[in-house]
Amino acid sequence: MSPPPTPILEANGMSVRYGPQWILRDVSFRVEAGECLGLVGASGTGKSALLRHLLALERTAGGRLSLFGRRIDGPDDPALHLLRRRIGILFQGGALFSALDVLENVALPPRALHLPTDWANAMARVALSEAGLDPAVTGHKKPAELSGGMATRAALARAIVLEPELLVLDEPTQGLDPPVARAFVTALRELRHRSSSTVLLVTHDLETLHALADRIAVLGEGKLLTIGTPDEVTRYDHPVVHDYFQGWRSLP
Amino acid sequence: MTAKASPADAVPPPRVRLLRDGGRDLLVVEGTWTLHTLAPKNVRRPLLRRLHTEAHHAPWRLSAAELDAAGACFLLTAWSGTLPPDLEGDEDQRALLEHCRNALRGDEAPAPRVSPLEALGTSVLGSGRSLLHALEVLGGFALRTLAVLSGRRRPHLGALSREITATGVRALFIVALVSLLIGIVMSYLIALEMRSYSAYDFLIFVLGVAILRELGPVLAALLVAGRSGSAITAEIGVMRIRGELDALRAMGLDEGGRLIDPKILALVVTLPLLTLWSDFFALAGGLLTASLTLDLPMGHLVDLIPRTVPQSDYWIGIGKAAVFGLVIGIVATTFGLEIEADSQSLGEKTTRSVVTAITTVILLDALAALAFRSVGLP
Ligand SMILES: Nc1ncnc2c1ncn2[C@@H]1O[C@H](COP(=O)(O)OP(=O)(O)O)[C@@H](O)[C@H]1O
Ligand SMILES: [Mg+2]
Repeated sequence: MSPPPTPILEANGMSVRYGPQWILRDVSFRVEAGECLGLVGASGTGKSALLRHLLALERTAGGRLSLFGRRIDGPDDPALHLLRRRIGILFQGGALFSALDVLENVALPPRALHLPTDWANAMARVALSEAGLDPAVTGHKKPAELSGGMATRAALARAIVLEPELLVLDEPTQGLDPPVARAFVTALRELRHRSSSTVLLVTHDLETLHALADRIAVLGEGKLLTIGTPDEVTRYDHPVVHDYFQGWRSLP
Repeated sequence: MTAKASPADAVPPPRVRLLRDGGRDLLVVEGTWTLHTLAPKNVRRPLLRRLHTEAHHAPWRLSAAELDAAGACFLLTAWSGTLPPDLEGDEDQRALLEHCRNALRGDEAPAPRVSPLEALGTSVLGSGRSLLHALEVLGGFALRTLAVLSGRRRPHLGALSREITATGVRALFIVALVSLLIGIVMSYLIALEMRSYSAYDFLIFVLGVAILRELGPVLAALLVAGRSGSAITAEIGVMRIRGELDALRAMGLDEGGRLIDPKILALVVTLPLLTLWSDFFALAGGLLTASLTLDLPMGHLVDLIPRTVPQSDYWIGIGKAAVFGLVIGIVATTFGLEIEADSQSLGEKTTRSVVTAITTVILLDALAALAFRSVGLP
């Protein structure tokens, strides 16, 4: 008998607050190993804020957080240093370092592990081509010279370069036109197929969600409205959820 | 350590083994070749030596217990980006290596090193270009200001008032403090010397001319260049990086009248006023120290100022301050507009903005000293 697998990420009664304003209260859910959990909600419901708290980049206003089965006590928990290496993050908008070129951006995580330059650069090139960019063409460009789609792909490459166990994507298809977004989703699916990593995906694009998510969590009204399989969630009886998933049925 | 289910020693370490297989030598890649196992330097070094020297001597066989993309990249960099001609073994692992090699292929050479001469040339050209830009900014500012003065254009008074608050009002405290201290120090040093001569008129004259003509305007200009010059460059730069300037232009709002002119104008207005403020505190500190060191009534010393210090020196100081304000404003906005879309450029241009503004101010001050050498100063 093996013990039940520990969830990759577990939030227990987490709250998010900025000053006097409560953004989210009492959010509890788990991300299980190997699954893709989609986190949805209208713009401004606190998805990005929740992510920052789930990654312990900010101090929570209450609640417990565990990463890889380990309890985290706040942004300066010493264990985070090692745990974060097992997480790849694509921030909303990419957050590429504008002073570095694309290859340097992607090679930064392995360089941070003190790997030699040529090895780190080789890993970065492979990651770039995984993300659908040609390293020979894009590698030496500065982020400012990239289009939105290319910047997102470069950011994805940086997120996956260490083959993380948990991949966190904040609105990866935001601002991409449908064909580019679809290509991006395909690239992500192939990636997941190959490396079977766990994904926490924030999006408000239903198509992306449909293509990738195994389970869906819906945020709204300052709390976690519901969480479950796509079928369960779309049948959940709540006006906000209902509104949100209008047209879901008609997706292929 | 990481909370891995299996302890580290249960993982077979990466290694290269020489195998005699049916009369021929075969090099076998075995063990776990992953980022995790290869990260320690002492693991990598012996492997690298082996991989380097024997890459093309013997046939290779891939039979790693585990190989990830990082491991594949490691093998490929050790093999200088090529696969050995005789490579057999696990299909999946060979496919992964092929896949990674394709990503590494066709890399262009890194940017060539810049020679010192070229760097010098670039920097000179860059300065020349900055000078042209500055003249452009100055010209635009002058034309728009003329248009405002002749009533053909409406001034942005709200923006001007905001800028005056930022560059003038918020600088009052620091200017007062620095001026007071400098006045005290200077007066103390001179008074020590003068005590033996009882040449009080001369003390007041030196103090008055030095402060009104030189120290007041230069001190205020240096402080404002450091405070507001850098802030203006950084603000315009960030607006440029985030595309706000493009947005302004696209909406048909002129960035010149709305963004640039108020900043320059505010400096032209506030710097003479700050100079007056600085004059006051420096003189106050100076006279107070003199009266304490020399045991003279304060009122007597204050009376001496208008009698010994020519008024023209005061006006020269105020006039210089207005010019310094213009220079700081032009330099700060010019460098702000030159900032390119990366964070490094922001820091670089902000530094250059402050250094250029301060240097220009001091240079102009020296020129003014030459030009006005026969004015004032009886
Ligand atoms: N650093 C912050 N300080 C104050 N309020 C914030 C901060 N970050 C986010 N917020 C607020 O939290 C709410 C959620 O923001 P965000 O998480 O970015 O929404 P989204 O779901 O679109 O990602 C918004 O109302 C925003 O104004
Ligand atoms: Mg967001």
